[in-house]
Amino acid sequence: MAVLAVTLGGCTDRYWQARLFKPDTPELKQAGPEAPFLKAHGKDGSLAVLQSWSLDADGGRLSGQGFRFDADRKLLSRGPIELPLADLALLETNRPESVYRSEVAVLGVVTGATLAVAILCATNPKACFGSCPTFYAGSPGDERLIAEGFSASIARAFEATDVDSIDVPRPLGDAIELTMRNEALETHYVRSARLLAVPRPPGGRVYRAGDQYFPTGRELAPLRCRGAEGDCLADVLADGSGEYLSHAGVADLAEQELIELAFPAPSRGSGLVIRARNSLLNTFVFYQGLAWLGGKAGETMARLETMPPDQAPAFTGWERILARAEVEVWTRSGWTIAGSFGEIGPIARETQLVPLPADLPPGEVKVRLQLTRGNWKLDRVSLAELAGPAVEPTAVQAFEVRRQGAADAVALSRLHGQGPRLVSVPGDAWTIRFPLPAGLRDAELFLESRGYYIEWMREQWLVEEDPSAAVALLRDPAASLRHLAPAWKQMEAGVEEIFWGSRMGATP
Amino acid sequence: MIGPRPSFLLLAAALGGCAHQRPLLPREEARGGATAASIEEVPTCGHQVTVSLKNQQVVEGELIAADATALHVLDADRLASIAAAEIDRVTVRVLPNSSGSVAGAMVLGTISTVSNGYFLVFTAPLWIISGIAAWNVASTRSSEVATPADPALPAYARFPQGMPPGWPPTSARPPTCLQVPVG
Repeated sequence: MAVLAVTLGGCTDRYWQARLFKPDTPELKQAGPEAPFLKAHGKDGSLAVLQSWSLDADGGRLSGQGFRFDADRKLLSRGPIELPLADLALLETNRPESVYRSEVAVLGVVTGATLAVAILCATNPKACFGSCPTFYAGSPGDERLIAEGFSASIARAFEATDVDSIDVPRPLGDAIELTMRNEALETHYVRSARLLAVPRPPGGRVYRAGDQYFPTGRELAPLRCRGAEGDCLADVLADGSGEYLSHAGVADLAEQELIELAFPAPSRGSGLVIRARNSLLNTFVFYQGLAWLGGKAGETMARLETMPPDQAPAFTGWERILARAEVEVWTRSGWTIAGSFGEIGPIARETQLVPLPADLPPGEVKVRLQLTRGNWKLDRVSLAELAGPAVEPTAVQAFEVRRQGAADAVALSRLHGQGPRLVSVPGDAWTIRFPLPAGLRDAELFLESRGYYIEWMREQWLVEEDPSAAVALLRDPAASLRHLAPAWKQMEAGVEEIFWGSRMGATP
Repeated sequence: MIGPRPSFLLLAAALGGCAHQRPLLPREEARGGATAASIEEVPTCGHQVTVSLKNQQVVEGELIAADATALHVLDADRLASIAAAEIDRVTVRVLPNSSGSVAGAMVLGTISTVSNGYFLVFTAPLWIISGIAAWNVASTRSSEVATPADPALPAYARFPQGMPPGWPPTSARPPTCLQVPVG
């Protein structure tokens, strides 16, 4: 609205209503009350502007206070003025009016409507869309979000390779097309992007466990699931109808929960398949850190930029709390850590496998996930029987990149890792095409992307600058997460709606 | 970014087609509500006019005087005295023209919808459509049209009483009338 007011220069215009009459008419005597100003036009073209005026007793002279101008409207005098009516050609009363600018009303309505959306983001910018490059598959109008790349790489010093399982429409042809977008107020620096493909075993899938890829066969659905919010079985079944998300701790955002699951006994070695993504809790914490850095965020990020990767600060405490869910399994010696599911990103779901030890006790397999309350959305947990040892994936490089419908050879070479990184700003989109040789038409596909991104500062964040809080956030995650709990709890209920409504799309 | 689609262009054309200028109101008629002003703000110059001639030429400038036989307009080069018989119509600027700033607001408003995320699909066209409508309003309200014989026309001139004898004193172009700072 401020932009509108500045651009349009106000809501009203000045208009001067006027009445003209000859000096020898009686109207002059009646003109005073309504018209604060009187203009006396001389026969020679001169003009007197009077603020208060009167006629002398015989009605031959007009006197008052004001200004006199010649015919060129050059100021001649100011102060008391006396004019013989005989020298005047015409008298004119002037009354200022304020005329409402109806076009402002028209734009005001639309500004109000669109501002409602902007205000959601402006008053609560930590709820607005952000999270590194997003990747889509499928045809226009039927696109499916399949991955988000290197979400944890918030500065050059944290540049990393991220591998995401991607669930693309099948059957596959001789090529697959993905769209990479920048849908947030961020600058992305993409070093490379390629596919990793592993042929699926008959009737089975391939899952990633760290840097290993395991072919699997039969998958067993859980018999029971119980978390902090109660029964979660319906949410984690593979039918995709639900998603389990608990509420964050009221007094401590690091508060943990245990989700206990039981599975039928597998007939061979197995692994726990987890499909999940983050809630917006860790995005909020990251944005809050930037807000506390305030005007020093640029300097701080620049320092991180110039640090060699081996000197960058380790965020191990944070990684455990907000980026990793530990998997424990009941063994003959009690609960044993089997591995973890690790992923950062609130947008795309990631599927990973946690291989379980071979010597599990007979009967049901009992596992439990230890994770931070309110930080994870689980939509699938199953037990997959392993179909063999880990296999090596085949790397598939893109053969074409298109932007706004035109081939972009420069972007193609950059996504191959040649030359500088591919830089994208909000709204950018590229369509990337990968070949699929005959042996990989039914392969399990993973997207490997490498790069980093820079979050844009929001003006609203600057008012929260508190360097000591920012330092505490790094040094003492536990205390900071207790400190931030009330703020997060206040926005937790409505944050998803704002987040998903604020991303920026583009047609590649 | 979403560019204007053909349907929007059609709508713009349709709305643009709605633009028509109103006939000149007599200066006695009120256009708004009474307000306060200082004496320094009282206008001393004539209104700006655009005189469209029957030969398709156009003269723009300050309306100096108007009578039944001629219009006197101080344009950028000279004091033009135009015979009423040569004039097709006279467009009088009665209020500041804000159509330029409305267009600017429309552009800024449309650009600002990038902050609306996916809602931009709705808000950007809304800005374009409303902006065109507002521009139409702004364009039509600032000017009114008269014939050279319109009895309301002289009241908008610097010399509503008619051309003063002996003015301008030389053949040189008279100085441009400015709202003289008298405070």
